[in-house]
Amino acid sequence: MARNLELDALKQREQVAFQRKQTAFQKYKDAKDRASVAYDIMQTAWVERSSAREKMNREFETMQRASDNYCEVWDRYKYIRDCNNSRIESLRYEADREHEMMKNCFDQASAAYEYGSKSEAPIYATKGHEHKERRNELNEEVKILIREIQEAKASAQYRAPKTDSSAFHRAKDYFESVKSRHEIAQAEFKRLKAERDSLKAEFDSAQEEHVRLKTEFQKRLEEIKANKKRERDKILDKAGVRWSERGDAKIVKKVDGTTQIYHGGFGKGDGFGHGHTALDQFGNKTYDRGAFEEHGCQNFVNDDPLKSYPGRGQWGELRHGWIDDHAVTWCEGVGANVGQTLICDGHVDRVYFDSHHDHYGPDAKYRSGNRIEDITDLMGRKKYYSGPGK
Amino acid sequence: MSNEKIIQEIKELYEKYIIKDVDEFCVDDYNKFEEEIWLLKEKYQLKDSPFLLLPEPAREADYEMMNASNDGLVEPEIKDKAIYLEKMKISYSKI
Repeated sequence: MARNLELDALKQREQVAFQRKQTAFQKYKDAKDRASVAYDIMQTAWVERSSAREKMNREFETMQRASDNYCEVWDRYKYIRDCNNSRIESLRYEADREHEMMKNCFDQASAAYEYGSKSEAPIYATKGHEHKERRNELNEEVKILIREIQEAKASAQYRAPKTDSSAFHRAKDYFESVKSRHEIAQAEFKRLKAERDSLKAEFDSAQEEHVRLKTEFQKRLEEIKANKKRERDKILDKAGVRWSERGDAKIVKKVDGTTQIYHGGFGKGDGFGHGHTALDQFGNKTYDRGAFEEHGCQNFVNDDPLKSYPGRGQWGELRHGWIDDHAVTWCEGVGANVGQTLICDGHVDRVYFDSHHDHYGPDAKYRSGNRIEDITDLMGRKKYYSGPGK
Repeated sequence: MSNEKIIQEIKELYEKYIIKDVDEFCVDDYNKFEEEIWLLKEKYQLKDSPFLLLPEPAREADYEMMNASNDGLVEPEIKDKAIYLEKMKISYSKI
């Protein structure tokens, strides 16, 4: 069957588009794989970052709790200190007053003993001792309050030492480090994702183009098939091939313009026992033999007289003839070409034959031991005979 | 029968049909040369083909001309004629 150049061109365009699509797909797939790897790296960095954040938060809370405790303990100490200091100030003032009163009493007792009624001296002395005792009691109370402050401070120092924030700062530094790694990984993923999306768009475009060309090719192929079917039906109609034999019928168009239809054979149209119908170049039926019918001249529809042309050179008369059902034009060699034959398919004229024939026979002139067709074929000669014994 | 006579006759056939300018040479010259060489077989009662008496590269030239002229039925192209004549002149020079 002759190739359809338009269809070939469409197919080639489709294949180019297919290759382009495949290339785009490969690029997209590679980019997708790279983006997936980058995504995994980013996710791993994110997990690390989350973990580091949690640890940092825990350290912060620990530090915060320590700080709260510190404040609470030291606030309590300050409260005690301030209350006690206030009381101490008051007690000291009172103790100083008792001391002054004690001195006055002892001075009055001494003056009464030396210059006045001696009987009043013991009274003043007793009062002096009372003030002294009272002064000492007040001083003792001050001491107790001072000791209370000192003990509260020692207790606070023991219960709430200065807050240690180093663990929090280490956790924070580590968090900042993994956060930075995560942000780098995230930026890389975003870059590769953008590249992947761009290549995906290219692939989608290439795929769309391929589908369009494939559809165009399929559509044209269907049209050509439909045309060929119409043409085939037309030939089979002209040949009068029955419907039951049409499916397997084989149609062969010859270079001489005739159309040969083989039908009704076993297995396939030109199988054993096939029928044979021939149409000339004008579509007229020239030969018609049904399946399993005998070969013979009765099958020639118009049985035109076979033509012949005078011989030329070392070749005898050129004649039309038949080999089985195969129309041929042929001549035999004379003189130097004796024993040789020129032959081609179909019933053709002299001019056509001179340029379109095969040459068969022994190499009688030079006794090379080879056959002429082998020698000329080696030199690139074309073949024009396709019948029996070719 | 004399070999010398046959050779002489072959030489004359070369001169009559082959030893020409390419513009003068035509496919009929080729056919006539072939025909008359073959006639020598009967004329001199040769057992073998008289073409075997043609010095090389006559055979090679003949095969090429066979293709170029479609077995002597069409006029070959000038370049093919030139190649044929060139080889046949070499053959002639060896006679």
